[in-house]
Amino acid sequence: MIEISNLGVTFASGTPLEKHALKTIDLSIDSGRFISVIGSNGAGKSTLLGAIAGDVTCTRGKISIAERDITRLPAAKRARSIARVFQDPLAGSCTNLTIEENLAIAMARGARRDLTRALSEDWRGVFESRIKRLGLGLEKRMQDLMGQLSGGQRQAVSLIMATLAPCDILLLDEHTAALDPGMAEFVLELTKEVQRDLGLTTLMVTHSMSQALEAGDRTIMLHEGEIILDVDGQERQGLSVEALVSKFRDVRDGAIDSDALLL
Amino acid sequence: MSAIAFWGAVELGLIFAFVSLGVYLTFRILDFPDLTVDGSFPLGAAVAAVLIINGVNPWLATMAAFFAGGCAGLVTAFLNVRFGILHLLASILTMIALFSVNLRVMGRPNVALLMQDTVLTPFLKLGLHPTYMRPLFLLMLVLVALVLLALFLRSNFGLAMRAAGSNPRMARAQGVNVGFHIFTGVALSNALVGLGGALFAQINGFADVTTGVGTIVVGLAAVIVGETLLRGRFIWVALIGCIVGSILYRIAVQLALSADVIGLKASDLNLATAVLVALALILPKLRRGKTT
Repeated sequence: MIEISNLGVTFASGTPLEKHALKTIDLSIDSGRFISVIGSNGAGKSTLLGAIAGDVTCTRGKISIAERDITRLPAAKRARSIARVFQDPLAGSCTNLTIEENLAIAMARGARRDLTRALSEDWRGVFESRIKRLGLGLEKRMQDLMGQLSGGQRQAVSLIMATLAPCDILLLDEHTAALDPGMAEFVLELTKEVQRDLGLTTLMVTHSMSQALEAGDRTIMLHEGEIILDVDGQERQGLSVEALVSKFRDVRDGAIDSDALLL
Repeated sequence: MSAIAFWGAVELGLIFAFVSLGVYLTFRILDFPDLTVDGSFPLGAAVAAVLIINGVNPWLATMAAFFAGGCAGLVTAFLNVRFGILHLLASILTMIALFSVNLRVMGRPNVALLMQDTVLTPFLKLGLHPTYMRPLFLLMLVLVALVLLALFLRSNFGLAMRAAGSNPRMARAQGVNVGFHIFTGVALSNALVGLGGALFAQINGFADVTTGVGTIVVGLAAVIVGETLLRGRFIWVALIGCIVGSILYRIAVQLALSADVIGLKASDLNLATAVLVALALILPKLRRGKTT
């Protein structure tokens, strides 16, 4: 259970460049739910994820995960309950370590790092069975360097890495945006499958309206740092991409109208 | 090149293998260019020499040099992690400060260890000629360091350290305290260099405050020579490369100096080293330029 209340993030506060990236966010996510987040550039999607993960410092408000207040914890200390996949396929893994070494680092996410051998036979077995399920043949290349994989393969491995250790929430930041359409589809299907199998509470940011409706069971739309749409259940089922796009336009035009009034 | 000159070069290469392993830790694993080693090498020599002439057991003196080097590394890491001073600058500050510290430790610019018992003394009594015994003794120590370091870098802790150097953002997302691993890595690196300094002093019979000049370049040269010869994705291959690189570098220098045709003098050593390192850094770039 994730509880976000009255969350605000202001960049460059008190300067002419001051920007309210998040104005007031109230969001409550039940365990096991898969939420897709949409919004135009600068709407605050990535800032919201960054605030939850600890990369972005909150100006006000509170974030708690499983009734633990994490608002002031640094990113590394939150890692035990938060798993992430980044937009850039290069960001989520180490280029000059092997696939299995990357997996071992992820397997110990948030745990104490001791001096015992990282790649035990037990772990290797787990890694192999998880990587095999990708169907990319990577289980035969476990000792290849991560840098030898394509962007799509790396992103698929990043997703497996994120789900090796238990987490309270999985944060996906446009994790298919940098991939070619075929690989993006593959990674999205994989995401749905893993989320369903492990029952992970998931927050997925996406640019694609159709992806937002296709994946997940609840959709929120952000605009200028606020949640302007939050659809769930029946209402969401009946929603078409066109309807969503027109809602998106309405809000945007509304914003332009109010600007016009100001002028 | 005579046999004595050859084994002398191997011996020096093995001493500097500790330096190249240390430099590999900072430069390659942590991506932290660390010039502290120019100060921690003579620091290790000074600490060991002073303790030995004051009657301390040479092994204990060598251990003390190891920890002294580690402390020097901690200072650099502290300046960088805690106060955000650029790593290169932080290490130069520590290096400069260590010059004074080393003079304080010794109380004079150099300390002679003639007629003193060193870690090597018991082994020299075994009967083998010192020309061969010294490299053999050093090889044993280097192999111990190699095995321990390889095990360390393959542990959960070591992997986290490699992640912290390779991709800090990913490391943080995996719950790795990046700052802490920089502390540990830079300290361990300088501890190894301090150990090298302690062995250098005991084998050569003196500690001198100026022996540290260019330590970083020699260490880097060894790392690069090793990387060029031994390429591989396994960490122990890279570590063996550092050791082999250190020995080969010394042999190459010895060859260059002993070949009368080239006309190099011993005082040209630093120039030759700088040219060699520059070439080793430039060549891979040229090769890549051709393929793309």
